[in-house]
Amino acid sequence: MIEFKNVKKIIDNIVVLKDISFSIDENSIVSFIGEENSGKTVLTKVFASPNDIDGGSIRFNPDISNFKISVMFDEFEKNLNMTVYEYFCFYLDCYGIYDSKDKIINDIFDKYKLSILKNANIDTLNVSVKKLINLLRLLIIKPNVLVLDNPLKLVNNNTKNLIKEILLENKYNMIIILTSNNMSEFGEISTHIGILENGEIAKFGTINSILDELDLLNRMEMRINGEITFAINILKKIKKVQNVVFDSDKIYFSISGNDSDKEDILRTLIENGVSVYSYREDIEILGQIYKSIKTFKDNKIINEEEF
Amino acid sequence: MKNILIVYNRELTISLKKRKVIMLLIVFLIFFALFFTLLINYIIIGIKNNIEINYNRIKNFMRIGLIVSILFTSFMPILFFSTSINSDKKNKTIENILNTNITKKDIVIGKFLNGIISLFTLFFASLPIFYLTVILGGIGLFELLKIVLLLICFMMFISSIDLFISSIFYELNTSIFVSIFVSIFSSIIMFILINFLNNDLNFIITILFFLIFIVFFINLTIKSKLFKY
Repeated sequence: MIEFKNVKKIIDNIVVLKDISFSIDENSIVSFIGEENSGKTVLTKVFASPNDIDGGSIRFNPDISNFKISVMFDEFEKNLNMTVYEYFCFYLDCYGIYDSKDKIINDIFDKYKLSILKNANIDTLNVSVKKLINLLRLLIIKPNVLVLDNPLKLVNNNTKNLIKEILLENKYNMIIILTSNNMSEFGEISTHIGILENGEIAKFGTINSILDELDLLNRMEMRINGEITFAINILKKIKKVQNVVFDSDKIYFSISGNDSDKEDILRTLIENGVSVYSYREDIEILGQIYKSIKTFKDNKIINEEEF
Repeated sequence: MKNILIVYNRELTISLKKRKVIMLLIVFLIFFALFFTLLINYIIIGIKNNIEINYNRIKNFMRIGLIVSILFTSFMPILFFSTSINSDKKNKTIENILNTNITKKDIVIGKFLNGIISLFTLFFASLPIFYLTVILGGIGLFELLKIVLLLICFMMFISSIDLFISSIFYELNTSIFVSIFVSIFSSIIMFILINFLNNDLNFIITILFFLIFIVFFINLTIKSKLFKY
């Protein structure tokens, strides 16, 4: 278990992280989500160097000496002048693994069908492959804590899926901590979500607990042909429907009920002449969480200013 | 020690791939080949024309060799050390290496070792000049050894300063500019200093001064802000 208690980090006299508190249990995948400059990268750097903080405490249970923390930073190394094979050999040496390097490297390359890349110059590879190689390089040492800063940034879809698969494969062996500014990227694989806002944790918990708290559970997204206000008026009359909002041609609303209630609502809409052509659960749910927190905070600021 | 060798190995591989040492060695050897040709021509022309060779003039000729050696030992470290740490910081390598078993100390000593060994290769290429000085009666063997020892310590001293400079400036151009300035200043000091080193005590004090400051600057480099994540 890792516990952050009021952790503070100052860089160049600017407080970048303020009172960060959360705890992470074994076998968790935690995603920290936030906009640019919200403190995500600095948080990953705190994991890389837990003793280098300017306030609060970080507790490792059992002792920190039992933790092997591997961090993948946002930007990949440049001007390495190495082949992929040499890169792996160098880092295996750095980790103190001197024996059977060939076997370890060949096994991991064969497993992910990357043998073709072994003799490629690492500087010439694209971002997607570089990120994948970086991730595999970290997994070779079997860390207890794997911290990845923006692992899917600028990565193509195939590699994104492969990275997610690799993370899910390893979820029972380690704590995985991810950061991203794309709200929906890690929704399906994360056990916990942390929302970072200006160096503070706005929300932290399991996805369901946050959704529940923000009344976003059973959030639906619907698209219709025709008059949008007509459909909204019908929805507002249904007792089990709350928080109806629309964004261009999409209508979002929450349902307090189960799957049969969702079907009943769709039936009611069609019977009333609403031409529905898309009706599904809101997959951008993390985006909604983020929007809700932001709207709540912005409204609070406006209200305080008015006061 | 193993970790230092890992860093040393990496640095050596990179510098060999960039062919930095090989290119410098070729330039160095061409320079000395020209120097020898001129010297031998001078002697052969003298013999052919039955002119008595003026050994004092040869001694002056050799003095040029000493001046060039001082300039080389003071300017060559710029190539190996002036952007050693900050270029790794810019290339995002330092953070990744520090996230392994390698420490700041291993990185600094490994880099220092690689640069110094490369410089030694170049420095030893210049030793035939000193040998010529001895056989032509310029200076004695003991004086020659003293000068070699002094130049080695001076070169390591300048290298440690350049390494330190590369760890305090983030911008590569700034660190190169400051290193050049340090080399010019140090060369002037060395030219003045060399006249006072006939005295053995002065010589030992100077060597000790260099060694103490080498350790001091390496320690300062290890504490650099650039090693922070």
